[in-house]
Amino acid sequence: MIKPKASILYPCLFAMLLMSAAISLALGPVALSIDDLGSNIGQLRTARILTGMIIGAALSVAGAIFQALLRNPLAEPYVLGVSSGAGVAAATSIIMNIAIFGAWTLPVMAFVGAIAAILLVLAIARSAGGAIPVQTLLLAGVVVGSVLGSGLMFLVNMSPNEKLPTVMWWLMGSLQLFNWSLLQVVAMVTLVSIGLSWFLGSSMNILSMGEEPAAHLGLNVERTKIILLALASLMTGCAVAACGLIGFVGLIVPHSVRSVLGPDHRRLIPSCALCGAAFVVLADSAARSLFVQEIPIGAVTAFMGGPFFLLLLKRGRGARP
Amino acid sequence: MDLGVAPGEFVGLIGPNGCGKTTLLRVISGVIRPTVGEVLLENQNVSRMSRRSLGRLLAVLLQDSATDMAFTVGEVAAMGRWPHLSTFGVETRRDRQIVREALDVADIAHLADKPITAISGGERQRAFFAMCLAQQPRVLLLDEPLSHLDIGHQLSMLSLIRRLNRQLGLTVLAVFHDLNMAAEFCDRLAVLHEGRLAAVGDAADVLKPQLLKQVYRTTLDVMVNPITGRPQIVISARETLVRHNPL
Repeated sequence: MIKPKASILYPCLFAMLLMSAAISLALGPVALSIDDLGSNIGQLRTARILTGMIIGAALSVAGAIFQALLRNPLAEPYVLGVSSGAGVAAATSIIMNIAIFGAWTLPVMAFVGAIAAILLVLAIARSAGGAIPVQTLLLAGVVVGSVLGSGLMFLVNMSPNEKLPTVMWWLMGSLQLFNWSLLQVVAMVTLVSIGLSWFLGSSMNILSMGEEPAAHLGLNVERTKIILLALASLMTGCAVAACGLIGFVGLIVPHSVRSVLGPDHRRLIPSCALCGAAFVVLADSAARSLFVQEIPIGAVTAFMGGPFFLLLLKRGRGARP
Repeated sequence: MDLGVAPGEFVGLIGPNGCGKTTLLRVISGVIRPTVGEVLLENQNVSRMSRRSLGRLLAVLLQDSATDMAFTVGEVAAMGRWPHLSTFGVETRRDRQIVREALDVADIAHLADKPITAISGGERQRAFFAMCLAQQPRVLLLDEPLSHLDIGHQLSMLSLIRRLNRQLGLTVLAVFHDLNMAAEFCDRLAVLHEGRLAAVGDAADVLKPQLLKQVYRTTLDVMVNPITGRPQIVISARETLVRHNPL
């Protein structure tokens, strides 16, 4: 574990993010130089890079919050059924040709599906006194996720041949989002949520010691849980709405950052945001340039992140006596 | 139940498994709201106090505080300052000084940079004790503080708590399973039986074979420790052992 000063840490991470953006801008089927930034391809790539940064930051911070909140190392942004809820809603809107919101239909439907799933999970887990036991929450999330997941499988099975590629493409995630105003909304929500989560860093530290010790230290546990749940769900919902399901980011980025910088959320949250952003941008450039045909980014995040994560896991184990 | 603890007093809470000791501590610490009656802490009703102001007044050491997160011992101790920090959670130089002193008093300062996931159970208990000290409470609740400690660490932990109780006037209410430790270190003992207070008073008055038989459902003899003059439980009733062990 290393503990660099904030004045060194954040500029370094920021430089890393800028470098990944530069790499991503240059890579792709068409080589790009600095002079081509204003061209169409340059603009499209810039949009993709910005989308990747926002989504990567949102998923990573949401993952860090869920891990602290549920006190479970396997927790990630999709653990409470958000992904399946969004998937069912998105697949439905694609298959049934729903277009009530015009170009915004798919993201709005996905977002509504995501939030509906998490509200359902919350309603199931909430006890009579209004408290939310996290073990019940986790179990309810997994079960609701599975039920919705089977619904999703059914929809995929039923979808007509010409719709199938669109559904599958959405399910595997893509940064190909050519809607600037959608990006602006998602960016706004994500940045505000990350700011608030950063602000709640010390509360998350205390909460990760357990709910009773946290209460003894003066934390209003149930209120903090609700706020954190809302922030993480909002960010996940936005990410899913904009880019479909990009897995693994929200699981491995928080773990990786934690294993290097330690678990203090006051630095974990901003570091996760910067590292997650860089990671998704790099994964997307790999997705675009590794093969002639573009591969889904979800496949790349798992393929790139998995081995790296295992390496950190092994190193972390070795360091402990 | 009516139990009063005077400021600066060290009271031990004893009783068999399931008699409500831990529940009582949780009611006192405000984690459980009592359905009837009230808990007064320095004349304030605990149910009406904010968690934060309660956190500045009262610290709790649980019998097992475990986490997967690899916070260092120093970071854990610093969490004790949380109820005292401003909204932005920035630690001042004074906060850091208090944490350093707490680590010293709990005799864990040498492990300040070690992750709590990588130290022994006894060391972890002292790390959490340092956190309680950094909270600078006026009342300390302990739920079986000795359960993970060997006898040497048990004695040093209790001596330390006793010293803080005497020197700083810290009010202590502690749950004990070890009746001898409780008799040795507490000013008064409170015996809990089936959710009710069976007896309160000086160890010599409370630890009587008759009461112990009624409460713990086993025959125990009480002698006087020749060195300290405090009551000591001795196990002499062989028929009890035989009855529970058919071999």
